[in-house]
Amino acid sequence: MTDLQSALNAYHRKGRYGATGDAGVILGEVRVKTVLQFAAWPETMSKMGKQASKAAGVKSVPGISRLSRSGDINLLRVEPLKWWLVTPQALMDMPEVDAETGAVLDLSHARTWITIKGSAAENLLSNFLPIDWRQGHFGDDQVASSAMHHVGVTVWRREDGFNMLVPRSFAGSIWQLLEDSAHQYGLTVE
Amino acid sequence: MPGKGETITEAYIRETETVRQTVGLCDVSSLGKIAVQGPDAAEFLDRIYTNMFSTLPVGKARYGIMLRDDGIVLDDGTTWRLSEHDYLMTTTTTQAGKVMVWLEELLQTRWPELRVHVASVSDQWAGIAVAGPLAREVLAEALEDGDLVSSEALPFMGVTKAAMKGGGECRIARISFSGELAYELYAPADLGEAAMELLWQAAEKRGGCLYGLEALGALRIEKGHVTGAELDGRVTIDDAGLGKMVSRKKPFIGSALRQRPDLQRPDRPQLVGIFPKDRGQKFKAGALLFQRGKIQGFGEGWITAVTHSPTLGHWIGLGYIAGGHQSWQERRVMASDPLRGQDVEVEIVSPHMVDPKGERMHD
Repeated sequence: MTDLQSALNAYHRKGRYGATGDAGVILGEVRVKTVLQFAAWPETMSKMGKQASKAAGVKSVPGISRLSRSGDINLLRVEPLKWWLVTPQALMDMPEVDAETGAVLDLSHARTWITIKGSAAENLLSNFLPIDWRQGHFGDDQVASSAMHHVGVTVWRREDGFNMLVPRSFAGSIWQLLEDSAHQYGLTVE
Repeated sequence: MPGKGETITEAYIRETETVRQTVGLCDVSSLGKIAVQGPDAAEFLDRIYTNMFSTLPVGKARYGIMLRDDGIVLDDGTTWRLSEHDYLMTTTTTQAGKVMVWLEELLQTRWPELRVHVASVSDQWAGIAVAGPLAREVLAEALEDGDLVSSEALPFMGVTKAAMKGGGECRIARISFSGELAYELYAPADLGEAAMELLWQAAEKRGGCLYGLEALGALRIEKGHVTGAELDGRVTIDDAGLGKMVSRKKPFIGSALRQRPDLQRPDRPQLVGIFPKDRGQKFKAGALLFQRGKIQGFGEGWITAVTHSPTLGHWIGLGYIAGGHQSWQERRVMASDPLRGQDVEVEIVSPHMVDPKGERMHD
């Protein structure tokens, strides 16, 4: 199989950077991934939500700004009419959905998946995004569709930290911004 | 892409000649790409393009122009029909974001009843143009089944899917901006570099080249194909010589206001080709066109793009002039560039300066 070329190839250098002591931020990338968009029509929300949940293998259809998960498969509610199935597994067969119910679209290569972990991860994200990232306000399994320097990004939280999907063509620039800002907290790039 | 000791001019001339005579590869990944999906996708496209897209068969692509509400051209591109309810729209690089925002605005505010979803997939696909007489055999060598791009299997404006050697599936459209036999291969972005490597291996051993924006410009200017330099926010579809693309069977965005009297005047500036009268002379984009002896005011037209034409052996240009080229036969015209202190006598010709019947891309 041909090697996949990440958008971060020129930027992603493993190592320890910035402030000494324990690293406050750990940045990484999930290289192999699947991102599938399930989009409903207003009158087919219930039906399409069930189709998306079935494809993801999750028990419940996530509501606004929430995700449901099954193992390492996440189903994110990213827009009023849309869910994204996001997983570090390679692309499965595209689910077939009748056009009267909705539309499915492969975005696996259109996004770069960055992981942001560590004791200072909330601080780092606060430097760029207008969201209160503290546990009591943006907890596990919450999802945000926001923008970082006018670039649309999707962020969700799990127990081990944050995940961010960014448009592939902006990934290098966004990675550099995160890296540079993370130096002040001590950074490990995995 | 200049070779060792080569100037940019020498490089683009070499690249243009190579595309016309052999084969060239160009990274076109920056083009806007928008997925248009849903039961009403065909109706939506009919409303935003001047020509019909609901009649486009599955597995075919069509060039389309979209207008603003005021009847002026907004953007152009090709749209591919992937299935009954699934289209891939391409836009110019510059207008990709604007068109995406425009489509969402239409769906959310003007036509919320249409069951259509649009999504930017500009980042999903890496695009490579393969152009020239040897394009078909170069492309075939990169695929598991080269017969998928035979002349019979993939006629002009056809669209197909294919497995690339080494893995990964790509989409291919037989479309031509250069005027040569040409294809655009779209590979999933993470496989873009691998796709380029496959094509380059096949092209290099045949004497092919990589070509860049300068050569792309030379090729399209020779053919009279418009870009944002000509579709600059001031011109109508008729001004650009593309009035035949206007459907009389359906309304579309801009269909009413494009018929305003001022936009239908016969003396409006129309797209033309430009040669220096003395073939050894050059002129510059941005120069204004005047009747000889009357160089004053804003003139009769302007030059939008220039290049040395390797095919014709002299400098050529595209531009606009009042009434079009038929109005300037046997009349003397000057291209005046007071900012750079240059006046050159020019001839006004048809904008389709090379292979005007388009025979080479139908090969």
